[in-house]
Amino acid sequence: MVATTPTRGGRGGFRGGRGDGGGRSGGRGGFGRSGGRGGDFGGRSSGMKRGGGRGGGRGAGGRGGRGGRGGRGGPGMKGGSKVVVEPHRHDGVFIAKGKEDALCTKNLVPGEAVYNEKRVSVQNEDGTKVEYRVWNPFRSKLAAAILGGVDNIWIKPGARVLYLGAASGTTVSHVSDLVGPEGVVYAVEFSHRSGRDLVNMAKKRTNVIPIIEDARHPAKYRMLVGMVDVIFSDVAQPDQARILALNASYFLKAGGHFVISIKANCIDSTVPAEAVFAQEVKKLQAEQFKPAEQVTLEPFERDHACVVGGYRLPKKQKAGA
Amino acid sequence: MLGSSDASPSSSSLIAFKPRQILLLQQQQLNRSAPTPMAQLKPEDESVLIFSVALWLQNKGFSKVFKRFCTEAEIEGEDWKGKALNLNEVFSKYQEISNSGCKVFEFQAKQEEQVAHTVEKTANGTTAEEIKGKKKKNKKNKDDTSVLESEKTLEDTDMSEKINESHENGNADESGKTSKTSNGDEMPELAEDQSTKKPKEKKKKKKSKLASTPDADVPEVTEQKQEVLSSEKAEAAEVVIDESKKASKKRKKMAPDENENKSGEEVTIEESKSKKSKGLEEGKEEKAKSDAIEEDLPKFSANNNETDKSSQKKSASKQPKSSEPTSVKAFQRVKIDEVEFVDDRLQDNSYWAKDGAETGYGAKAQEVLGQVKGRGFRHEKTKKKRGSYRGGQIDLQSHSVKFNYSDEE
Repeated sequence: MVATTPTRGGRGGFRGGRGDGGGRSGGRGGFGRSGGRGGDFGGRSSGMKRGGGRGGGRGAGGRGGRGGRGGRGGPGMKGGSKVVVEPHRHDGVFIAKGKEDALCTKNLVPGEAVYNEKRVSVQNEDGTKVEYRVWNPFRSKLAAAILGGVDNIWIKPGARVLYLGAASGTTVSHVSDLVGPEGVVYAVEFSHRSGRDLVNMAKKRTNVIPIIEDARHPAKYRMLVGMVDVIFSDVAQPDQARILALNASYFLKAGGHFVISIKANCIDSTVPAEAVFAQEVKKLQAEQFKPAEQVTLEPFERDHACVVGGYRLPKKQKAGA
Repeated sequence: MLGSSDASPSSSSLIAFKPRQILLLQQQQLNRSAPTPMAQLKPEDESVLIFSVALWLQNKGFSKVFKRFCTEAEIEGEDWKGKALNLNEVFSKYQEISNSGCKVFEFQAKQEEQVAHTVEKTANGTTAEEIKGKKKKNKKNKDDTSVLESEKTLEDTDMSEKINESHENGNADESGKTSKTSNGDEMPELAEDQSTKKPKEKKKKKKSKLASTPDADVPEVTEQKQEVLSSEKAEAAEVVIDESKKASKKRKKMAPDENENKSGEEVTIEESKSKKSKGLEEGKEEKAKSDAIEEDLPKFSANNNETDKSSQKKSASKQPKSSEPTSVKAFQRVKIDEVEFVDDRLQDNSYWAKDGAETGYGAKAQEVLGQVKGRGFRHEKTKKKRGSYRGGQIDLQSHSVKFNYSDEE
């Protein structure tokens, strides 16, 4: 309450490291309330890493300085520098190749940034413009896994994805880009505070269905979620394998796939991370999952690993026959 | 008497009792002629003694005497039984010890015991048993601390009774050692007064370290003796506060002078202590706190050896307790012994162990983030989150560790 000025709010947003595309217009229009709220967050929880300061002030200021829609310029790329966007090995993921590379996804809502990420606009030969959003691996474990060299993320255009632990929806927005208008993302998040950002993001993206519920109780949102092809789990809970299994039993189709990010410290901080990962893989195997690969998320995350695999996969003999 | 009887048990266990036997003999013989100066037992010991006598009476089936005794000694409820000592046991032990020395004395003691049980508490009877009870208590102090602790907790529960008793005793002592039967008329009144006084006293005793306002404030105090006692108590308590650090030495010097006055104070000390310990045991507070209290305890308990010892015993018995949780294995979700790695590469989660790490997109980040831990890591990572990170080329190869299931299916 100390600072209700938009500048302070902006600082809060800056420190929080998270702007909000949806909330920004609100922050500008209803500036007394929304800006004040942002300032409140900034003042109270300046040390909060995630989901704390969301204030739209920064976004507004940053954009104002940039001028209109400053779409140009990926990382290391000054406005107007030549950028070539190439598709990644994974469908729906692109690499903006300039002087330096950057991972990006095709923006489902051109002209809108979700968390003040940079955008790359490319003009095709026929004059249509395509916008890409840069995907920061330090903010998204899925991006970190992709850069870490995971074999298959199974999330591709048209896929139905259940996303557990959506938080503010930064990664969800990229998954939403990835699956495209044909696919659908059910984003489950328990926290109301970050869930608010998620809902605001989902307002712009029709293929995202935000669910503010505890992922431990999938029965509560079973009416909202259909059968899905992939479950992405980033819940960082000691019983995350159980949570994943429970949700898979409700929603994951046989032969579907899972992507789980494991934070070792959330399970047991007293033993080496590698042992935790091995234990978790074992747990997954006991729950009808079939982990196919594991990749470290270093250096983007500390003591994290990403495990990808299948669920109730058909026997190989059948596949062979 | 206090000094002599208390100094001996501190030296060693069984041999230390012998001098007391001799002492007892002498005193007993003295008591024949002059019974009055004997009744200088500490109130808590006396209450224990009374309880044990009551128990003995009950066990023996002297129901009438027992009832009478109960009414006179203000014994209420059932919890006193926990505190009572088994007089038969005490006596048998006593016999064993005294077999070597004096058999005559033993006979006398027996006689006196019977006298004490059947009729009333003349000073003779009380002294004999008092000493025995005390002896027993000392033994207990030394032998098993667990019993002592349980006893203590019991003592806590009927501390109220104790206070009554102690005051009675104090009065009895002060009133020139008149027999208790004669004093009995006064006692109900006293007890009533004290019962109303009790809660306040307790509160005070809780604070006794900080502020010891004299008991004289209490309006219910009617009798002069009581007033004197309480004021003395307050003085003594103040002494404790003032000289808490030097206390042990000074109080030992003071002890012979203030024998009787201190008895009340001892009760307060013990009570506060026991309350503390009770709170500790029941509240399961941290070890650090208990340690701090244990540090405090000796200051207050330095008055006489017995309380000293009990506190020491307490601390000694607490230490293993507090060390137990440390010895218990820490909670772990992952049992490190049961973990087996399917792939050697899974044994190292670090970046450099990964394929293509040298030229990978994360190499530059690893150079920075690998140097820092904790807050530094977060700091550096937050910088990178702003989107200024340039990692070079992104390769499209797969670097993950694959799980192979060829052997299963």
